[in-house]
Amino acid sequence: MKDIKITKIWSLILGFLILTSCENELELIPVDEFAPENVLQSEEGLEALLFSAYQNYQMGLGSRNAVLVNEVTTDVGFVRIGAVEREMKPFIDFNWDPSNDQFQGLFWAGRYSAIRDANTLLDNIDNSDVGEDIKRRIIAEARYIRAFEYHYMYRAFGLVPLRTTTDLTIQPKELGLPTEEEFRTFVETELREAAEDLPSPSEQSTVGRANKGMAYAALTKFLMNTRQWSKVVDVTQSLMQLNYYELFPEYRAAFFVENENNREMIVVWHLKNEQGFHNNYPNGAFPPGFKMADKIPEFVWEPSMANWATQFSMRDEFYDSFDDNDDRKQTIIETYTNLGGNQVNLRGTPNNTRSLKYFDNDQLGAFCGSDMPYLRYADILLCRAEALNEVNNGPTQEAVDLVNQVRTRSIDDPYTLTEVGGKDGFNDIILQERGWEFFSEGKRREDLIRHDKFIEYAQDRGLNAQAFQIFFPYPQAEVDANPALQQREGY
Amino acid sequence: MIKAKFWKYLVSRLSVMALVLNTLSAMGQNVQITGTVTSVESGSALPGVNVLVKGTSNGSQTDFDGNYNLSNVPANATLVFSYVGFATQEIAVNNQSVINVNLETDQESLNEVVVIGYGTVKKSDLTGAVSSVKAEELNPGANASVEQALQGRVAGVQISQKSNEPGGGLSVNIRGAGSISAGTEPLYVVDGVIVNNGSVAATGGLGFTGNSNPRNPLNTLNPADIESIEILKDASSTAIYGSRGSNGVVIITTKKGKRGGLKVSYDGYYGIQEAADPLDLLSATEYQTVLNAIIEDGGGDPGQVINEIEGNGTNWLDQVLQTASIQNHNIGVSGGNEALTFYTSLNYFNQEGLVKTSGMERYNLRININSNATEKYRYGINLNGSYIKDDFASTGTGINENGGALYAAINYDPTISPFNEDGSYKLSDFITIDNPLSILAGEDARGETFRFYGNTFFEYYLLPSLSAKVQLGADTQNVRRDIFVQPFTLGGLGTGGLASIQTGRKDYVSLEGTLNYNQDFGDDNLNGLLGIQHEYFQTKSFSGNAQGFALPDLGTNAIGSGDPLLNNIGSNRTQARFMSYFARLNYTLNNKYLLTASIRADGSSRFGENNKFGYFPSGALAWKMHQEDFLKNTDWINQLKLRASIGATGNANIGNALVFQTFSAGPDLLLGDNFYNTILPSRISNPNLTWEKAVQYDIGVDFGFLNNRITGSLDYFNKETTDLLLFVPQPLNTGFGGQIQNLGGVRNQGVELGLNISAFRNGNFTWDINANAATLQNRVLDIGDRGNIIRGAQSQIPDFSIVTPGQTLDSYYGFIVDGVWQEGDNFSVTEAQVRPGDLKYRDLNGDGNINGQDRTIIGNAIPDFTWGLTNNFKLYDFTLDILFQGVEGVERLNGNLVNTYSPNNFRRNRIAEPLLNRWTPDNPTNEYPSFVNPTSQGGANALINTKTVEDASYIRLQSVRLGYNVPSENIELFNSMSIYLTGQNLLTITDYSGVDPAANASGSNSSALDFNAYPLPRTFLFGVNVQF
Repeated sequence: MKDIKITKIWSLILGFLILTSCENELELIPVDEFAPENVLQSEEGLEALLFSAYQNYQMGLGSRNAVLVNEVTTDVGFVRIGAVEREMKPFIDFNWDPSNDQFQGLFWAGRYSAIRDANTLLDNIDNSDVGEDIKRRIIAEARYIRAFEYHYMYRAFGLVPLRTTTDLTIQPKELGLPTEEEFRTFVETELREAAEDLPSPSEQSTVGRANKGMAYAALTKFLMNTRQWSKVVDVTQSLMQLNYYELFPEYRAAFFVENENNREMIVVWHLKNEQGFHNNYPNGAFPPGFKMADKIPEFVWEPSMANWATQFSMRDEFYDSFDDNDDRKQTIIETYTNLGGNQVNLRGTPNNTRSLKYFDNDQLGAFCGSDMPYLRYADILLCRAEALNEVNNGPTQEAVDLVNQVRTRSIDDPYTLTEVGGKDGFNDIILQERGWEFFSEGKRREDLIRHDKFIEYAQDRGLNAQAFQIFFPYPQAEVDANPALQQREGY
Repeated sequence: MIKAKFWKYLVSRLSVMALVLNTLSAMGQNVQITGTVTSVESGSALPGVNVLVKGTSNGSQTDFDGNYNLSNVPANATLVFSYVGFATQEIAVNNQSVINVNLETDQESLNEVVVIGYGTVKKSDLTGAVSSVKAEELNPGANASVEQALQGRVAGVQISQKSNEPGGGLSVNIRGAGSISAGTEPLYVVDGVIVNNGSVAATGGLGFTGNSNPRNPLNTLNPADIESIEILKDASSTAIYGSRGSNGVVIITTKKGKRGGLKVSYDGYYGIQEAADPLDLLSATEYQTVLNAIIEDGGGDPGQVINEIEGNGTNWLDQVLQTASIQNHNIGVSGGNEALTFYTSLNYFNQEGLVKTSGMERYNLRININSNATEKYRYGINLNGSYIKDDFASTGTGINENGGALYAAINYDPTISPFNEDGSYKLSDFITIDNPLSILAGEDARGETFRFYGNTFFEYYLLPSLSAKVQLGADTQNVRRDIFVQPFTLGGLGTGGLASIQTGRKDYVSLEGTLNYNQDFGDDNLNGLLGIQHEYFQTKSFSGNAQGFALPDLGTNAIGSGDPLLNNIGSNRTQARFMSYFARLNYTLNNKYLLTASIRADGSSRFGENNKFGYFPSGALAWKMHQEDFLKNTDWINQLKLRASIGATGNANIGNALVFQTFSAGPDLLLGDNFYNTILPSRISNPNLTWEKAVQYDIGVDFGFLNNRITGSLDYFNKETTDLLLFVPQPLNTGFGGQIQNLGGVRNQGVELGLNISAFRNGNFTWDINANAATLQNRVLDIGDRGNIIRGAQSQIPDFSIVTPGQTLDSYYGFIVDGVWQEGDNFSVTEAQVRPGDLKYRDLNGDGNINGQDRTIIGNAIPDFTWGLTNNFKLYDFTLDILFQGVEGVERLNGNLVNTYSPNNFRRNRIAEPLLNRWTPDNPTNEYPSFVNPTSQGGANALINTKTVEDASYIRLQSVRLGYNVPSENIELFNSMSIYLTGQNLLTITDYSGVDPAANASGSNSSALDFNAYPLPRTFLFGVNVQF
């Protein structure tokens, strides 16, 4: 009797086991991720995806190395000691190879992630039912980010694969290079068309989101680096006609935390004194035991701030090339007061002066909150001057005035048209002016390349620099995974 | 008479305690006994049989003709006759003076039962490679977890402690490493239920550098509760676990009660631990001399010259390390009657850490209840509850300001004193690391783990040969970690304190039904198993952190008192389901030929929709040659069994969501001063994703010679894992780094030998040897056409390991150092900045530059050869167990050497040897560089070279235990009692310059990095076992 009961219970349980064994039990949709069908329907979803594109586009923590790589390879910057020296050593020695992490990390993967997000958005936005105005604006922002990234990569690598959709049936994973013409047309068209639909800077209510000025500025830089001078003259004209941008009255103060988002700043890497979002350039720029420096009276180092082992410094020749009366030179310190109260002179060691362009009295640990500018109005003015010089095959008053507009903010010593010489002489003046204006902003490498000085200067420093090194190699990981892409000649 | 007896005891026991006890013994009438011992089977005399008066150490041994002579035997005593390979007999004296004995061959040792997946089998009928370890064979000494107790015991099972902190993680590799990214840890099964291992909460916290190896989840199992451990190695034994069997299976069976009276036992030990071999760093004076000389040679800033040593300098390692206590107390109560048996135990374990402020405490409770076999049904319930308190020191791989206490102590300036005059922690002006003592005092990290697991089953016999069984198993683990970093530390300065709380829960439920059929047909036997199983896995986690506390006093107890604008929270939940069907058939023909075949079908929510189910068959044959007529009469062969098996298994440890195309929450976007939420495409999903597949064949022999005085097994295996779960690099221009795919293969092959030798037996002295050895050859066969996988980078150490076909998994990848550049060398062949005294890296491609293209394979972290050797001696009531263990043919990247060769700050302390013998023009050595120009060539890649990747072979005296069984025949208080002294990690012989050649901070098993390893504890214990 009892046994029968037990048998029954047992068969019930076994029966249950067998009956519930249907395969749909094995469909477990991830509960902490969003289903693609729903998420891109709403404005909120589309905007969150757009923000991911912005998040990749913003250089964030990478902005420090982006500056260093573009300066230690030139006559401007230098790094000694610590882990960052090990990272920068191949760049200082002109001995980088495709496996170097910086190529993939800084200049490639993040850029293509932004492009992926923009493409995903552009591929899907037509299926959503948000209003046309919103659609048009979001599309323009996505196109701006995508084209901006191609412009950004062009500086490092020249031509790169031009991915314009996430649909792998249209563009397979293995994607080779476009022609120079295709690439140029794409970037230019996208930025021009994006500019049309983007709000003007004064209308853009969210700081940092794309506006007409940002699109024109990125296009200016792309046209400069592809030496399309007359187009530069056009585009800079459009930008200036926005009547929004202006030089900040005082050079050093333009970079202060309290003056962030002033009207000189066009494209900015937004940084904050919080982990993961911070500027860590100053930690490397502070010399050992740094307390304060006469040149930078606004700032006193506190023990709650980091001061790293590694030393980011300026090359002596560059520092010495400044006129003593140039306000921009005041950004670079050669003496300081250390924590023991002693005055320390940095010139005892070669190439040891420090750029304190960025600092934040509210820095916490390694987390400095100072923004890093990527494109400033001063850059646009000097680009226009350079393009005018090329278009007119020599200096014009307008071009000299543009240079003086930037220069006289920092030193009361304007150039005259007669003084600047011929086309080449004026070009050299512009290059020198750009060096003084944009150190610690990561512009020197592209400027030297555009002026055909990058390799020459490196050879002057005793390095075995070769012509092919004006481009960085494609990251090894991309070349390994993408058989359609040939590594650059020389690497 | 009485005096003579007194002296005899004195000589034989050498123990005061024994003397005391013996004076208590009641005197009776004693007789002398003689006799002859013969074998029942052959009738011949047996030499060397032990004859012992039961409950005493009074004993003798038979001579060559099988005769013995024993005096001073109490007339009412019982004699015990024992001999290897024969059943022990007990005979009451009953006033006899001549006792002749016939011993029977021991059927029991042949009938010993071994636990296998979903069942048991007679050891003699095993067809697969299964190693069985009984409780009494586990390593002596302080073992926080079962793996430690197994270390060095089993051929082909390589166990190493990745971190020596109390309760630290271990790596267990059975027959090598067959997976690149899906894990190489075996499957654990406790009392028939799969253990859902894996840590729950993250190891770090805001401002805190936790060890990247999570604490061992099996710390929640009390080693004293273990009855036996079976390690399933070949595919015929693991295939029944299908898609989770490819890394081998460890089956743990806990103790059950026995019928009879109530048994109460206590065992416990107390001991002290000290750091076995701390790093040999520069002393304060050496540091001053050497660093000043380097500055003089142009290798440092003249502003950093060391002019004075404060006090006598500071040995920072001494400041952070301590001599620590360890204790364990275990109370077991067991018993049973006709209907029911039970076993319960209560355990308390407390291990302080060698690094101050670290340690682990465990409270564990186990209840096992089993019905006694009646005719129709059996049932049982096994429950384990444990509570673990962990105290963590910051021993992770954080660097510089984020470095942990050990990191700081190793790197800190030895010439400064620990404190300022005002009592605050002194900071070096030249080193970007916090004061080690400030880190110890200011970073508090604790963890609490509740884990409750168990199972209940009911088995009903439909026929005497057919039973049906239902088993329900469950496992739930709840973890909470609290971390607080004080504002006085460097990391917490200006933050008002950093607080993090992480909680997590891991659940597992399994329901299984099996049918068992077992029937003899004359000499033949048929055993069949049919089963079905459902499993559900879930992990939930929540974490929050805060900073900006106005008053840090409350810490994580009031995390809400921080600045609300700086709060951060996050949560996560994943789940998975498995549905499985399995069957096994064992057939024995003529008790000579054994056949096993099994199959399992696994379906899982983790697998892509195109591959929902996987099938894992296996087969094995064995031949008991010793049952054949031609061997039956060969005296010296007692057992000779040939085995061969082949089978397929899998590794389903592939992540829960990889087959789905979804959007996930991305990192926050900062624009201006505002943060915005983002979502991004999670992955390139893979609808074809499946388990990793392993096909393994095994050929082995089990043997027993010379009356089974020599027994053992020899196996050759070859395991080929294919369809490896790989993050296959995709063209990065897709915006994705890669896609998880099944690709490529790894082969592990080797020979394993396990040997038990009863080397010497005499009435009062026995010597047993247990030895094991295994070779392993690990080769990556194929990783597709996307190029080599170079990985491992962390803590400013660049990628150091490579996965490439034809080489060992995660081989070290770096530069070959050919010596040191000497004055007069031809410098035109290298880069301009190279100077005499710099390391001479080999320019493999001869292009004059040293860069990433000059890297090559310079070693690997998988040992070619592992071995263990145990010697057990017994003399009268004394026992001595000595365990050696070692590995050969293995290298390790020594992170402390990396920091020695290329310190982040010049003024950091370093390993002494290279600095004291550095190159100078007067000492033109090729061994060590001048340290003047540490980044001469190669950038960060230069950190990985044949100097920093060292030979990590070692021979270790793992443990020595000296025990004494207190004679208890006349003590009423307890039935038996033994006391022992144990020493662990007494000696390590190695060329490796770090603290422990087995240490691995990387968090991965195959790509190994020693980074400020937690010191190896040398432990001395005193313990006692009492049965009441």
